[in-house]
Amino acid sequence: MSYVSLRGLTKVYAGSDEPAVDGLSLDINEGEFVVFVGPSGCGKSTALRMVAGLESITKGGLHIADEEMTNVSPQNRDIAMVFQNYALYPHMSVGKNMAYPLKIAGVSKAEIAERVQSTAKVLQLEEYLDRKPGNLSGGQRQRVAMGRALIRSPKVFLMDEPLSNLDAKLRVYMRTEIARIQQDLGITTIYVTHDQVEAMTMGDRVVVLKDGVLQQADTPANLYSNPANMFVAGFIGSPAMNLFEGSVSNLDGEVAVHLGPNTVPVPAAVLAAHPSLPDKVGQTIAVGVRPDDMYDAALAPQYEARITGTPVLLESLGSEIVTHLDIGVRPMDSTDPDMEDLTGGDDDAHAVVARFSPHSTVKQGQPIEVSIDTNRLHFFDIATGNKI
Amino acid sequence: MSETTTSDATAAAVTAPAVQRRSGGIRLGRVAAWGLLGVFMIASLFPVYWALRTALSNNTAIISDTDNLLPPEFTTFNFERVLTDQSTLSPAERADFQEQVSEVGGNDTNFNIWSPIINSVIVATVITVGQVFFCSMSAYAFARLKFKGREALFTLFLSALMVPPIFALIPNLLLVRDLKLDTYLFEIDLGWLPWAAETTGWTSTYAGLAAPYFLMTPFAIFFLRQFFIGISKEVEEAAVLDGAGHLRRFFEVILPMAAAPIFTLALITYVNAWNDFLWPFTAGRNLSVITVALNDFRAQTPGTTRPDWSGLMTATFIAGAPILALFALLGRKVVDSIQFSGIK
Ligand SMILES: Nc1ncnc2c1ncn2[C@@H]1O[C@H](COP(=O)(O)OP(=O)(O)OP(=O)(O)O)[C@@H](O)[C@H]1O
Ligand SMILES: [Mg+2]
Repeated sequence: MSYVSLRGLTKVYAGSDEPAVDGLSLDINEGEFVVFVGPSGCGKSTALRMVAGLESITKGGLHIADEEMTNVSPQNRDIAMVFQNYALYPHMSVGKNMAYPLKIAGVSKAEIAERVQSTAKVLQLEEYLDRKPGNLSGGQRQRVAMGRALIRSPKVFLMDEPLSNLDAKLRVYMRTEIARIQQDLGITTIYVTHDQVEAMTMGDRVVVLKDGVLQQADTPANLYSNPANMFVAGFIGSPAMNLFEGSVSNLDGEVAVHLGPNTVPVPAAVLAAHPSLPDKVGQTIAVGVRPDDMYDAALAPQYEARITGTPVLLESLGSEIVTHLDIGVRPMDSTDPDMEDLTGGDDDAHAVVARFSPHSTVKQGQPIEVSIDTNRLHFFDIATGNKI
Repeated sequence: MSETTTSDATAAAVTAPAVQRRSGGIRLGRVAAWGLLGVFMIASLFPVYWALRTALSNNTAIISDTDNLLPPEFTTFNFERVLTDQSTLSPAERADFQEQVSEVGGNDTNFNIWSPIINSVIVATVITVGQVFFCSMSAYAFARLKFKGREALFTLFLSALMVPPIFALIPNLLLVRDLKLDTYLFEIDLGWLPWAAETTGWTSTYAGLAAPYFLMTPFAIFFLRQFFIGISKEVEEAAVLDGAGHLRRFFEVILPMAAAPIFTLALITYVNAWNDFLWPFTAGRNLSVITVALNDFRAQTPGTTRPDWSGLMTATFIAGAPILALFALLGRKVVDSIQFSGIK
């Protein structure tokens, strides 16, 4: 039995006819850490706020711990939330901020003091209890906000982009801190972010949303290795998966995909995993290859599928060489609007990206043999975007 | 002021050559700015000084010694006579006191400034507390609660800002005069209520003097609403999730966060109430607040003797003192709270 159950949650804001969240169904287990991820405006916050009760639910139902919560007021849902801007009470000290929900709940003074102390200890805030939030650093405010949320051991813990106001280093630190605290306390958590690294590193399960519609809800590993559709394929992973238009051929059972001038044979094991692939013979489909599944052929001779490409840009990061290649066929748009923002809609930027080992001798402008791990190819129907 | 300084400085820097000119320009701008500031300060403070100088003078001497910047025939007795209630003195003491009064050239009215000051304190306090309380609640409603016709209602409130106060004077007076309960209401005997049978209604009562300003002024609502709108919605939502209902959110979260504008509003309201003359003059003839008392004192000067300038200026000075004290005490606090609420 699931602990938090979203049943076809739908939100249509007044004055808009497009739903911001459309029929979101999801079952969350007790103690699970679920991350909502997706491009800006996809409805992550709206979904979270419906769970919190801060937005009314237009259609659908919400159950928490087997109780119908759809129309219950936020005060009575036993839910705590951490906001992007922390939303601390500026006139109260750190200790008072954390004590506030307990005070309202009518907890005795002695118990409040004790719980403030123990929560402050978990969050390493003991020395700041008498300070006002205005005199704290961003990371400390962040922890106070978490303390205020965690102190009354809510049924569900919600966080809306809690780390986006922190600098990169602190973000990485707080990421592990939050994951650790969540694990220690075992509180069922829904966490919203648009940062896929956060999503992948923190979540037991990651829910990808696009235009208010759930695309895939799965473990980070599955999301990466087995994306349900082209959007998820393009959204998860950095650099993003390369997607090409390709045609399928079947010569006496030897199935192959053709990417422009390149032919990539599809091994039998992959065919078994994608049984409907041979049906697509003669049709144009989308073929996906992750940058990590492309190798400098000189260094990875074990992969027999070869294509030839000309490096147009090399980014040497020390641990790897991110190589942008022209392979004679243009990659497709993954329809990820964030990507569009990054490239400014510039089509030339859509080169094929591969991650080569630092030992590679790849040189800009010199054509190179690239080997592909064909066991890890992805195939999508172009019309529906779904995987084949 | 700093704007003037910098623009002066830039102007100077543009016309003048290189580094040396630049520092010279800044100094010149500074001097000009300070000079201007000084002129304004002297212009506004001189009357205050002149009132003090008159208050510390012998009333006979000021007529003859008009050019003296210092008090002619310096005396502090004027303060004593204005602050003394002569009716508490025995006949002998009183005669003695009157003699001293005539020595400083004052007239023999029993000024007893304490009673109008207490009246003013009561009225201004009641107005301030009521107005800040009710206006902050309605401003919150206009800023945050969702209800039908909210915008229309707010526009209606605001349009009251456009009505000159003098238009409301007579209607208010009639309203306050008629504010009395009938002795019988739905056949229930209300005669035991102190104000039930009074024929004058609320005129010349504290309630009547405070009534027009007690519940609200459009300005106060407008002023606070603007501020409430600016308070982060997330903070209030956090309070909702912490379990706070509307009342808690208003009193424990919104109000403390709005401490600065509320202090400011309270100060403005208090000063306005203290300085108001027309309404208490109209509706409070038998319950004089300080402004009305000062006017009476001026008017009572018998025609035979010269005007009692020293007495009047002493009383005026004392009348302004509570306001000055308020600013001295709270001005710092207002600045502090503005800084405090400036943080996120
Ligand atoms: N109060 C509102 N009234 C009307 N439309 C809204 C409101 N809040 C959000 N929307 C719309 O609903 C959609 C989803 O918004 P939402 O805030 O849930 O997105 P998000 O995924 O959280 O985006 P971001 O990553 O930018 O925070 C957007 O198109 C937005 O314009
Ligand atoms: Mg959001």
